Amino acid sequence: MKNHSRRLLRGSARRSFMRRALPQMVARAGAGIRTGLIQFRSPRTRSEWSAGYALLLPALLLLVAWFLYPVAQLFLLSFQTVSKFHFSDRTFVGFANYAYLLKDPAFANSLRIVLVFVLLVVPAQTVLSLLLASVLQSVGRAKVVFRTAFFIPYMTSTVAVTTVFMQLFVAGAPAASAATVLGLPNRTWYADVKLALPFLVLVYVYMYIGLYIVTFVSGLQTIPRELYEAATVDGANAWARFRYVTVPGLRPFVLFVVVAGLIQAIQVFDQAYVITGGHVLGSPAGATATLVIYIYQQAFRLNALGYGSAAAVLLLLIVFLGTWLTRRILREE
Amino acid sequence: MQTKRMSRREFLTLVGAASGAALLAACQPKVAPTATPKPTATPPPKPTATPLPKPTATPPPAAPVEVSFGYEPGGNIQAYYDVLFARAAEGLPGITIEPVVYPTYDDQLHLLPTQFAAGTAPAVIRWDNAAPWTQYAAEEVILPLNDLLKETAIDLNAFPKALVDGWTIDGKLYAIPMYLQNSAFVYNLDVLEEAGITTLPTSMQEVRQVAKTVKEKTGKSGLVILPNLFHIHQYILAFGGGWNYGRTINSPENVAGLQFLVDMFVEDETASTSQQLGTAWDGEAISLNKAAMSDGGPWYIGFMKAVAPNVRYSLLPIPTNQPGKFFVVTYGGGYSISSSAKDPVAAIKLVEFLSTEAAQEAIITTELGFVPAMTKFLDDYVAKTPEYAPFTESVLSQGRKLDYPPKMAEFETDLLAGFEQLVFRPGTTTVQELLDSLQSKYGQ
Amino acid sequence: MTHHRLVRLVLEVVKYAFLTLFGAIMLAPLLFALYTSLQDPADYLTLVRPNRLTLANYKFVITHAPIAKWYFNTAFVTACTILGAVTVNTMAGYALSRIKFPGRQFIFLVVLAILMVPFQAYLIPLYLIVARLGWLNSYQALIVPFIFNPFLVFFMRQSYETLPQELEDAAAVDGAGRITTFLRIAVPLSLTAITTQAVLSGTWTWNAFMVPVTMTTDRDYYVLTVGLNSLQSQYYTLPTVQMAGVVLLTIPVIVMFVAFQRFIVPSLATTGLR
Repeated sequence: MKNHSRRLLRGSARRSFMRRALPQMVARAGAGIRTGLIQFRSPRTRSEWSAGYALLLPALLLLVAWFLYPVAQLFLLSFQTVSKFHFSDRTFVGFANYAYLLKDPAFANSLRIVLVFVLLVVPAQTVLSLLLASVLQSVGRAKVVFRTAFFIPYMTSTVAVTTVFMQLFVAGAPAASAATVLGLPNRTWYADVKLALPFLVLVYVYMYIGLYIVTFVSGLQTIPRELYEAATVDGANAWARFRYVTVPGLRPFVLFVVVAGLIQAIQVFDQAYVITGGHVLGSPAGATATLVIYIYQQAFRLNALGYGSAAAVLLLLIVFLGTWLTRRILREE
Repeated sequence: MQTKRMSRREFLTLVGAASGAALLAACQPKVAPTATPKPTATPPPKPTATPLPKPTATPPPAAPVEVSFGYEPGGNIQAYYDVLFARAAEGLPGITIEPVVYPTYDDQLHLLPTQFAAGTAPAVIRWDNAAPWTQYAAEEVILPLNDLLKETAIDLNAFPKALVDGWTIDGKLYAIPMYLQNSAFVYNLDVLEEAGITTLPTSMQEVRQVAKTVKEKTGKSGLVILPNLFHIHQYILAFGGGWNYGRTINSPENVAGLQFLVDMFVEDETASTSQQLGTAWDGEAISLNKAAMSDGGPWYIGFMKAVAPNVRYSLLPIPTNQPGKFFVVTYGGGYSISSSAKDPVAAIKLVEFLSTEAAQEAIITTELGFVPAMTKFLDDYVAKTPEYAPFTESVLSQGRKLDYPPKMAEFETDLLAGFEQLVFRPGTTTVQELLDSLQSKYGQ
Repeated sequence: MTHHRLVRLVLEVVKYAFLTLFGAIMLAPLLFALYTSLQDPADYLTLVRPNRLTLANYKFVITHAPIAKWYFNTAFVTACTILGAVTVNTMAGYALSRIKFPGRQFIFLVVLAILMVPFQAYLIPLYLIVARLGWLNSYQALIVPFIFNPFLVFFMRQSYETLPQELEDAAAVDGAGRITTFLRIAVPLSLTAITTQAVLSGTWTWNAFMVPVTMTTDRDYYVLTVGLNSLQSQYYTLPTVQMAGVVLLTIPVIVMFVAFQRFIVPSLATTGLR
């Protein structure tokens, strides 16, 4: 075992090693430790700790300075009103900001928009990416080319992609005209009250689907082929195989895609901002006013840093809640 | 992997992975505020510099002082300032200029409040008084210049009174004028001809009729507007209204003006926002022959020349609700000094240097596209720019002012949100309701 | 059976057709951008013969903007960020995964929680810190806040979770210290993950806009995203010029990805899931 593990494996050999032999090795290592065959922890604990802290130190310093400190300020600000021009000019107002938010119709509107957005985006991108990954998996070497094509939108600047989509969906432009075939009016999508949110959904799914396709493709690769063979022997057809082998095998990946998708979708901002050109946020008439747009507007346009911060804290709570709920629901199924 | 019960580690993994993906989203490139192209002119031929006269002020202190100067370099503005900066060694002894260049004018306006709060705002700021300067004045982050002026030889009488008044509140002057700006109404003659219209409207009621004809005959939009405070303001003024610094937000005239605009959207369906037409601002829609009329200003001149030289258009004073009577808004750009300036005296010296007659003349020679603020150069400008002929001195001197309420940025945000509700979700509120709520929130 | 084979052939064709269709849809917007950027402004949104395509838009961008400087700034900032990020996050990920020290779980939870806060919310406090440090209009402001990255830390942690422990145990038995184990064994084994980190961090930095536009008002420090955006306002949002900017911004990223994609894709997917 010792000699075997000393040899560094490369490339696909290592990948398949990690996928196949890993669980057994870990189990064996665990057993080894338990039976005391491999002594390694106790005499070195203290120097372990200092090594750990040493490795962690730069990260910790940066974390505190650039993340914790501003975020702590954020929490503080949510309980204060601040003068936009004189930051030292603050008054503590307790939960007044939160109370205001709960009464503000614009905040309620943002919550509603985000909810609709998430309910449209997450199922769509989960199902689509699963479908595409399944088809992709069954193709041979051309897989790499397609995978690259699907992943490219993810690597492109959000601004660039949204701008291009806007050009394509102006009344009379290629995409808007094509959509009239489906009975949709030939209007500028992102400037229409009913079509703006669907436009947002389209751009968003387009950008992120590549990531999830890749996730599922790798997930599909972890399902042992023997299970499929056993199912075929038992007389299962393609659909039955999909339902009883693929789907259960992909469960952790589906959970990842759904939860990750949820958290990302709740925080959508860039695309909604570009659509308005930075003028009337949430245009048209609040149809694209996502939660982070609301936060941004409060902090940067209405000079109400307190409200913006309180909304950000609420967003954090919503994300936690959403994650926990989703995990709960999908686990029980 | 076979499904197994979710261990604590797996939960953390999932939460972490999910949050990680959230960061992926967060780390995605953030947004580019696509700005309204700032009213500017065409890319120019090389400017010819005029010789610099000696400064007439008292010599500044001996040690070189650094003064930061903030501006946005749209159009030829960078070229213009390059010319001035080149003269600074001679004309502004003892002071070095530190340029603070904002990527776009919108970025400048968005960044300034934070800069004021952090104390990092430039000492001298160039902007126009469509910016929320009244708010900054009220918050005392820009300085009144009356006392500082005594250290210079700036003669305010060289500028039209309307311009100087535009920068004055309660007798305190907050900026030295740099250029003149005014609003106007734009007519796309090609589109109007296509609809069979040969005479231009003389009142807002006629504008509405013309728009209907254009829509019927050509299917194009009769009116286009970029929804922001400045443009909506024109229609308010056309009906005899005005914000009067927050005192008359919900006056009957304002209601009538806003209602007129909303009716053209909702009842007639002859008006569109620039967004609906797929363009970034009204000028682009006019240049692409997507609309017949719009409110605009002299910034159209340079733009149309560069982008759509074959489109025939007309720039004229704005019609009102009284036939035969027209108006413009006269305002302009200027230089202000922030209260965090380390050396206000050096700052005002810089402003003086930027406001000399030579600097004003350079506005014309570099084809900046602005009208110089000093009255003596107005004729020069008109001579070079025939499209500007309708805006005579008398028209300009009677121009209305920009009288926004003090909390201009917040007011604009709420007004625009309400305007979009009125236009895109008709029936949810009325013009009177909107203006009443704005009056109670921002009135004084 | 021939019938069976025919069905399979049809299925294959359908599969490829479906994938090609989708691939085309995914690439279409970028191809549209490329095509538009080669058009004369007067021909915008029309299909023209190849002889009417022109490089005028690119010439315009290049002559009216210090684009070389912008490329340099972006490349420099990206390179530094990648170097810093790879170092710091790998060490942190390893420590959080392998070394059992007190406070480990807590720190990890804090790292994860940070991910759930949208950074637009704390952009202003961030600006104040940078201003107070005197880092406005500097390269540091664009690099340092992005070196530590919670997602990448998490990612590296997961990668190390999947590494077989025995290799390190073996090293330990041989008397190697923790840090030596890290450097000699863990790092070489996780090169794939480290490369992925580099590519992700590089892409995010390259495409970043919000922070650079807030922190830099000096033209010498503009990055590509900021610079190309300022071009819009200056020169009339000509859509063809805009698209040229999009292409100039995107091509390097795509090139980098295509070059490295052998390493990223498998790593991204598997290590996130353990």
